[in-house]
Amino acid sequence: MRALDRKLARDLWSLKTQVLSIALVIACGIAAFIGSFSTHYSLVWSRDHYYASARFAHVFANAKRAPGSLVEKIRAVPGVVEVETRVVRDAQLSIEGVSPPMIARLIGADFARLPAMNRLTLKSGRWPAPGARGEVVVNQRFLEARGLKLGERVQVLLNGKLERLTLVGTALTPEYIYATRGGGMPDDEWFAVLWTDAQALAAAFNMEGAFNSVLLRMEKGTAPPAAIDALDAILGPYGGLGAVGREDQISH
Amino acid sequence: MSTPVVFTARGLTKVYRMGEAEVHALRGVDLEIRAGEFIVLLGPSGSGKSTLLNILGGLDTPTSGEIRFGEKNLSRADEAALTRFRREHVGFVFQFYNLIPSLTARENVALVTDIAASPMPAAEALAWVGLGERLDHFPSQLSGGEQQRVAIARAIAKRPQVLLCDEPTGALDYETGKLVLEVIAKINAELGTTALVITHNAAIAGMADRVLKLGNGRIVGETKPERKLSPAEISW
Repeated sequence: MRALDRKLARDLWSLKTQVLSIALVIACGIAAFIGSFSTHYSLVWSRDHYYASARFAHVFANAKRAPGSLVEKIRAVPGVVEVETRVVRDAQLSIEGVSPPMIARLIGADFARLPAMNRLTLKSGRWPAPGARGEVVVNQRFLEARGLKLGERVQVLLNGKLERLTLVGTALTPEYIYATRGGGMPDDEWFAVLWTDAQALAAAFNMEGAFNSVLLRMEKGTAPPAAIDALDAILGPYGGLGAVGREDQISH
Repeated sequence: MSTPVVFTARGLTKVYRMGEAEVHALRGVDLEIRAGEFIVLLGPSGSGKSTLLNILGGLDTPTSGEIRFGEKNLSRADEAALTRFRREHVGFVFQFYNLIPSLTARENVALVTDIAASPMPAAEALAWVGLGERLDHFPSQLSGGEQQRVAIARAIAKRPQVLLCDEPTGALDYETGKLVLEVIAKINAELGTTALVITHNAAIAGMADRVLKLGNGRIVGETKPERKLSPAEISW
């Protein structure tokens, strides 16, 4: 062993307490880094896995009222693989003994088939019977925030007409993990998401044969700006509100 | 046949700049040092002794003038060449010993023998300075004079051609100082190592082949003692 190596070894030994402390601090730092890194990796993996299993859409767009015939035109946009249209409307929701009324986001769903994207995961209860009017699935957090039970009824003002809807199940969706109406902070006590029969909802809002929400899945998993621009151009005359990619979707 | 010249200095100047001020440490030094000489540099503080020693030893470079070691021009050498020159040819001894506290006497000397081309064994170098029995002592277990002798052993272990000593007895008492001077004189006499010793102590001049007196950055006097004294014969 060379003299300088001996010096290093002896100096380290004489400073063993400090060396050990520094080593422990470094080890803690590395452990924290690896821990955070693997937690982040695991969270991203879980999210991606959930998105994949729920077939979370890549592009989201809203319009005032677009005819169903536009679907083929949208499908022809380069990069688009699948198109899903639906009716989504916000309405006043009231529960007996609660004032003021709340806001419900009603989303039309066809419970007879598996949706192509933004699939729901049923957490409790059951799906509404296909074609059954007056049955809805509610987002789990609203049910919990309000202390409601399945089987209870809520009242919703549909296009000026008060409807009584029965809560038959609770569900989760990647679209409303962060459930907010306009982009503010989530408020599960005052904002509910209700999935109801698509035909009944369309009839209530005079949207038969039309849609006001469109979801796309893209070939490469991301939406090129050109596709978003093309979708905006198609929906523009129908009150299009500007399409966004998944990265700008509020819940994501 | 005359003794070969080790160092040749011609018109050496050294100017240090401290902000606006210029300090002229050397103002044109001409010098020739021959192999095996024992030279004492005398002079008051600030006379340029240490600057001259540092330039001769390749620790510093002159502002102007020329310094040669044999045929090698040190005034034009770059940092790497000066490092090589110091490593291969020069041993330094300073007033303070600069030993590594966590290494024994033998290991302190081994710091040099580990990197020198054809060194003497560390134990032999320590035997030369009379510390053959204290090889495995740490600096804290040695007296000041013994530590200085370890420093000398470290300087000579590489078998340098030149031994440059800057106030080697400055931090030592009378008896210990004489012991250290004896070691330097022995190395000069028996190994033939050219020795330059800086001192404030005029009594040490009696040991020299030649005494150079510096003043205000110049060599202001040169004397050759009629008889070279042994350290035992000098006193102060």
